[in-house]
Formats: sequence, C-alpha cells, structure tokens
Amino acid sequence: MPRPLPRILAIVLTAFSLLVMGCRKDQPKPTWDMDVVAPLARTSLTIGDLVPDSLLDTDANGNVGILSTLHLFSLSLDTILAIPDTSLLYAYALPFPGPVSFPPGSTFNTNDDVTRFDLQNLHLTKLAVRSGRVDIAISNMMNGNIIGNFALPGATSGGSTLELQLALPPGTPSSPSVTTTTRELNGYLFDLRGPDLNATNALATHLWYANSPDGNAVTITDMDSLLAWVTYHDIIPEFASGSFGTREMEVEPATVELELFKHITGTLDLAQVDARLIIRNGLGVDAQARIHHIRSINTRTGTTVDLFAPLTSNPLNINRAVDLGSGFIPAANTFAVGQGNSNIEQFLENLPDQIGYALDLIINPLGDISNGHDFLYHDSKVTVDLEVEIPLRLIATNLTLAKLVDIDLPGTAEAHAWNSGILHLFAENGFPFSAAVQLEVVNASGETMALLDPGGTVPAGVLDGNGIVVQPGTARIDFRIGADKMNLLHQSGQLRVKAVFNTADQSDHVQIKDDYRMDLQLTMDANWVVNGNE
Amino acid sequence: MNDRLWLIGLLLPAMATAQVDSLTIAAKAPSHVLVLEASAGFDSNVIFNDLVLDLYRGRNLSREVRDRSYDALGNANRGGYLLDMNLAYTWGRWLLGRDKWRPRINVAYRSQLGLRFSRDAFALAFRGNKAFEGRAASIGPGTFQHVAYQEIGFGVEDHASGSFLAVSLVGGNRLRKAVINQADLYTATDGRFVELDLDGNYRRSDTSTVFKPKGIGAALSFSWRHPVHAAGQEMVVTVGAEDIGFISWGRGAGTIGKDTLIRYDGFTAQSILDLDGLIPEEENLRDSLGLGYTPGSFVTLLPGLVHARLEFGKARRGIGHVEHRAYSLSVAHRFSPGFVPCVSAVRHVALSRALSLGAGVGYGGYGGFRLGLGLEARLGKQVALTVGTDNAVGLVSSRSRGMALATRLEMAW
Repeated sequence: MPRPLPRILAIVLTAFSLLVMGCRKDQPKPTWDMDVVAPLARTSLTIGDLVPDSLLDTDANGNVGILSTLHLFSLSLDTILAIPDTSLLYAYALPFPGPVSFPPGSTFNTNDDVTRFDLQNLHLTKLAVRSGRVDIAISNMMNGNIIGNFALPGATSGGSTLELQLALPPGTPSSPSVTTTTRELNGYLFDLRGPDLNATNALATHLWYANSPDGNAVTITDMDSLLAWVTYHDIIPEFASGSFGTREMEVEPATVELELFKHITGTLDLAQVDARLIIRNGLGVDAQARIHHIRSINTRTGTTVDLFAPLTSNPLNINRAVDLGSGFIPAANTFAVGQGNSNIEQFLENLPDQIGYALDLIINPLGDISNGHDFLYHDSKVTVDLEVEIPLRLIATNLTLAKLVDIDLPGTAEAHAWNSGILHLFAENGFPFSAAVQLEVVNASGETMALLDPGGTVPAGVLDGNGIVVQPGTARIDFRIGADKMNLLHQSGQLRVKAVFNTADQSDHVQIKDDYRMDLQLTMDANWVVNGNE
Repeated sequence: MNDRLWLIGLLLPAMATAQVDSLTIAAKAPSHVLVLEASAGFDSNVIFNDLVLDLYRGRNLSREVRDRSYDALGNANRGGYLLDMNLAYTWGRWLLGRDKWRPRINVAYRSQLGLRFSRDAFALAFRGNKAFEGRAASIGPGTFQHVAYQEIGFGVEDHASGSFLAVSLVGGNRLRKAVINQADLYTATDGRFVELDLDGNYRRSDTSTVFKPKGIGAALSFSWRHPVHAAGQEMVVTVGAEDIGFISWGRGAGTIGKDTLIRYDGFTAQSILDLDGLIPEEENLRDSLGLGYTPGSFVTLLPGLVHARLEFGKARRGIGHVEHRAYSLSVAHRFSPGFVPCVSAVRHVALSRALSLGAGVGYGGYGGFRLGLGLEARLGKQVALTVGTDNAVGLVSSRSRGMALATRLEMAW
C-alpha cells in the first residue's frame, strides 16, 4: 500500500515557492570601463555673453558700446525732514481753595494752545500727513463725570477739523481715573501757521472740560485737577512746504560696487569714453554740491584713480524740482565729463570694481529765495548717478575674464562614472581678439586645487584693412583630466574658467561689432565606467 | 572552486533539457503523479562563462575577461539564458469515460532571454566607441528578446503513454525586445559628432508597476508518445510542443520604431559657462535623439519549443512502472533569437536498482557542442530525483561557454 506523502509534498511545494519568490532583486550592478569619444555641448559666445545685454548699446553701423549707469548715492526724505514725536501736558486746577459747585452741563475750563514741532531750522507752514497718530490720556481727580473735549482747529481732512470727546469717570486725588484715546492722522492737512496764521511749525490746539449734562453737580476744590497728555507719534509727511532754511549735509566717504569690470583684469585701452554725472533733485529747494572725490578703485590690483574734472573742483549748482500741486517733476542736473576735460579714460581703464565718493550738499545756499515756498513730497529725493558711455573700440592686452562655474557631474566624489579623459574645446572665433583659455578646479574658498592642462589659445579672427573681422580663427584646445583631478572636480564641483583676451592689433583700436561671435563645441574623450555612478 | 559551489547551490534544482527522461507504463499506473521540474542555464557560442558570471554577480569586468570573449566573436554570435520552473500534477484513473485519461494541471514560471549580435555591437557595449573614431561600427543586424511570464495550464494526460494536451493562461511579467535590421554608428574624429543610421524597433512592457501582470495571453502544450517497431526492436517516438502561444501586452507598454539617420553633436548650452547637465541623462538624450516611446499595446509570440525524440534499446523499469530506454536521439527548436535547432544523443546506464546514469552529447540551442550528464536516484518506490546538466564542462570551467543545471522530482502514489 502506498505511503501517504503529505510531508514530502509540503517540502516540495515550499521549495517551489522559495524558488519562484527568491529571485535576487538587490544584486549589485556589474561595472566595466569603456573608452568613449562623444560630443557634449555646443554654444555661441557673443558680446552679450561678455557684457550684460542691459549695458550694451549698438549704433546704426552695428558698432557696439557700453552704456552703464552707476548709482552713487541717494538722499531721501528722512534725511531732510524728520518730525520728532512730540508730547504736551495740559493741567487744570482751581486757582483758589474752593469748593466750587458746577451744575450739570456747565463748562468750567477752556484752554487754547499751540503745539510747536521741533523741526530744527525748517520752518513749515503746511504739512500733509501720510501716516501718524495722536494719543490723548486725561487723568480726572474730580468726584463727578466730566466731558473732555480736544480739537485741532488747524488740522482738516475732507473739510472737517479734528475733534475728540472723552467721557472721564469720577476719580479722587489719591485715585484718579485715567481715560485714553488714539486717533489716526493719516490724510490730515496741518496748517502750521498757528491760530493767528503768522507762525511756522505751530498747530493750534483747543481743550475744554464740562460737567456731564446727565450727571449731578460737581463740587471741586484746589486739590482736584485734570491732567491731559497729548502725544504726536510717528508723523510721516506726504507733503510739506515752508522755508527749509540753509543747511549743509555731509555725505560721508563711501563706495559702491561696480559689476561691469568685476571679473576682468589686465590692460584695456579705450579709444573713447564719455561720462555724465547726473544729479536729480526731487526737492523743492535749490542746492549746491561740492564733490570731494570720485574714485576708481581696483581692489584686485590695489590701484585707485581719482577723477579730475571741473565737477570735482567747482561747486555744482542744482536746480529745484517743479511742484505740480499733487506731485513733482525732479530737476535733472547733468554735468558732462569727457576726455577733453577730465581723466575719465584712465579712470575707467583702471577697471574699477568699486567707485568711491565723498561730497557735501548745501540746501538753499542763497537763503530763502522762494519766500517760504520750499517743498517736498514723500517720494522726493536727491540722487547722484554716474553714467558712462564706452564705444567698444579698444586695445585689449591680457584682458582677463575669470568666472566660477558650477559643474553638475553625475555620481559622487566616491563613485563616479567619468574616470578620466580629455575635454576638447573646438572654437571658431569671429572676434578681433584672441582668447587664451585656462580651466582650474577650485575649492569652496576659490583656491586652485588643480590646473587642467595644457589649455591653449583661440586665435583672433583675421582683420581686413578697416579692422573688421573677415575670417574666423579656429582652434582645438585640450584639457586633460586625470583620475586624481577628476576626483577633485567631483569633490569641489567648481571650475574657474579664465580667458585672457588680446586684440589682434595691439597698435590700433579695433571696433567690436554686434554680429561678432565665437562658436564653441565641447567634446570628451573619456574613460567611462558603466554603472560607475552607483 | 567556491564560485562553482555557489552556483550549484543556487540552481539546485536547476536545468537541462531532459536528456534524462522516463516513460510511464500503463500497467498499474499510480493514482497521483506530481512532477516538479526546474532548470536554469545560459549558453552562447562565443561568450565565455567568466564574462557572464561577472555580469550576473555584479562584479567589475576586467579587460582580460572582455577581450577573451571579444576575440572569439565571429559573424554569427549568439547567446541566451533560460530559467524555468514547472509543477505538474495528474490524478485519478479515468476522465470523460476513458480509463487511460486523467486530468492534468500545471503552474510554471519562465524567464527566457535570447540574442543575436554583431561583433561591433559587443565592442561598443564593452569597449566603447573610441576604437571606431573616424569610422562606422556595424551594430546590426541583431535581435534581442527577454520575456518573463507565468502560466497555469489545464489539460488531459494519457497515463499509459505519457502523452498530454494542455491549454494555459499566460500572465506576462516583463518584455524587452529589440530588432535591429540595420544600424551603423559613425563616430567623428575627436567626437565632434556621432551619427546613427538606424532601422529597427524596440518594445518593452509597462515599467510603471512591479507586481501587476503587464500582459495576458494563452498557450498550447502537448506531447505525443507512440511506440513503434523498427529495425527489429521496440522504439518510442515522441513529438511535442511547449508554450506555443502569445501575450498581449497592456497599454502601458511602449514601442520605439525608427528608420532614420540621427546625428548628435551635443546639447545646446545657453552659455559655455552654463554647463549644468554636461552629461545628459539617458531619458533626455533619448528625447534629444527623437527616440521617445510610443505607448500602446501589442502582441508578441511566446518563445515556444518544438521537439521530437526517438528512444530505443533496453528498457529499465522505474517508480510508478516507469521505463527508461537505453538510448535517445532528440531534436528541438525554440522560437527565440539566437537559438538554432538543437540535436542531442543520450546513453542511459543503470548503475544499480536505485541509481542510473545518463551521458550524452549535444549541439545547437544558444551554444555549440557540449557534453551532458545526469543521475537519477530512486528513493523508495514512490520518489525519484534526477539531477543533470547538458553542459558538464561549463559547470567546472570559466573558460568554457555555457552553464546549466536541471532537476526533476517525481512522486507517484
């Protein structure tokens, strides 16, 4: 009789299941190296890649120039007019021992006063408030319900004056009641001529007290008092007019960064340079600027060149803005700087990456010649810009452009497919200057870790008798990347590309045209590891 | 040595193409027969085992290993592998009024890869294109197919002769199929450009899911065994087929078909200082070359097998009244790239009542000439275990081509 086989059957089925389910899913991938030659990338380099398009200017003949505006400094509203927070205390008490009884509804004190804003030597007659507020706090020591009224007869908005009424609950000399309120002043127009319309910086104030008409008679003595604190906070003007007086403001020596030449070193010989200093005055005051220096600073070479021009040796008179009633037109005051009256060429050929300046600004140098009609708006400011115009007709000698480039290579520093190889850079150069190209692996601090040699030079395009490129220069430049340098490149992920430019003609200036270009193609001849990135 | 022990351990039970076989005799046939078969192996007429093993194990392929196979390449380079597991069960003593018939059910998993490739294609894949700088590499013609599927079959078996007929429902797991009619890759000097003159197509199953079936199909399998009397002795003729059918791959499948000239000279960078993506991703590169997939379902044929065998000589009774003939001559063909008709001759020798040895020679399939060995052990009267290989040299030598192992466990009660 056959034996039952459940046990063997179970083993067989289990083994079968394990075989079906047990396929390896996480096995490592095989690796092997291959010698690969392949194209990587191609691009065209135009003058727009060397100089930002926003700075380029092309004339009708296709001649390219640079038009760059450097913002030196700006004088804004808060420098000229700052209204300090102002607090005033108004106190009322019987001038004799009393007691005196006031029936309900009777007024027992009226106080007309003037708030004077401390605006130094500005004498304002009108102030439109853009934002700000007034806080009022009244302390009541009297034993009845008092009505406190506060008004600014000189502050109007939409034809109405500002008025506030506070209900003051009873208090005692030892335990006075304190009532507070706040009112936004946005949009109010202050007449700062005071109640008699003959003052400046003065705002008429009206404060009075009455016994509540719904209450009982109030009996007070000289020990009972009412104290009112009125505080103006954070007043920002929308518009102000008056006499701004004669003021002298010193603009401390400062520097601004100049991007135009930031990545460039070497020698640049420009054929022509024009510059303008443009001072835009948005204030309704005449002014005068005294420029102490405008300085070209090359921090990479440590060289500075001060600009010598009439504008640096003589005071510059600045016209005032025009008031349109609801706005203004700033006055643009332009001072030309050319090769005939300055050293602007040397100033720019220094390849500055910073511009330093220092100046004084005098407001109303001739006094109150507007008869109290100086003005400013919230957006009024004085700006000083240096505008340079450089036709790209030049001689470049070892003019060096250096830039850091992030290289996003697949894999990691520990495992990467690209083992070693040679990068080939093919160039067809339509520019009238040669370019010696160098690649360096750099670390996070910008220090050179390895040079990808040998590099080489792309020759300049061939010029005709007029200095125009008629035939491109061609070259193949190789960069060897050994395994050790490849490891460094994967670690840092950064290359410094350095290109040294020399114009084809070192004696005559050559003109850069807008259709000049350099076609580039990058290919690799590499030892590549299949699955090496994993 | 350890490497080979590892392989034997992994593949037990594993492959061979039934040089060791049995014949169920009708008299007193058992009521239940369960057969588990498993086989695995690869073969090639050119690629040496050391290259295949390093690929399989995820090792680094040395230049020496790659060059050895490269030097062996000719004009007809073939290779492939087969992983096959099948569990069949028959039971009962009659079916549909016939006392020799009984029902049959089987479940199976099969993974099969076959390829036919050019010498230049191997060189590009394992050496790179630098050697072709300034000239063209002929990648085609070539064919590659990898298909994996599961099936469940139902049928009827004549337990007197062992003949059977079964119809299977097939679930497709994975397909990768490339047919290259012609492809020449030109590499310009210094890699200025590469140019591919391509006429071919590539198909793949849905890759968005892992466990869900990617296709469905059907297959027919049969084996017809018939005794004949010729040359003065009893013989048995067997003809049969396995997995003659198809899979319809679902809508997530994709096809790339091209008959075009593709030129690539690098991606266009905005600036030479903007080199992000210097090495393009595979998908981006494929898009750049216009080699995107067109989604949609399609039908492929299964890599079915047809075979015929003649057995003769002295018979030996086994478990469940099974007899082995002393000699068998076989011819088989699988519809798979790189597979050529395979012929084999096997001699069975009884070593004892419980042990018999099979030895034979074969030629064809994915590889070339080979020697086979098999051993059958009877464990009592109800269990027989067979272990064999159709490439005995490949199991012990990394310098040979092909490696295979198979096992069969039969229980009858």
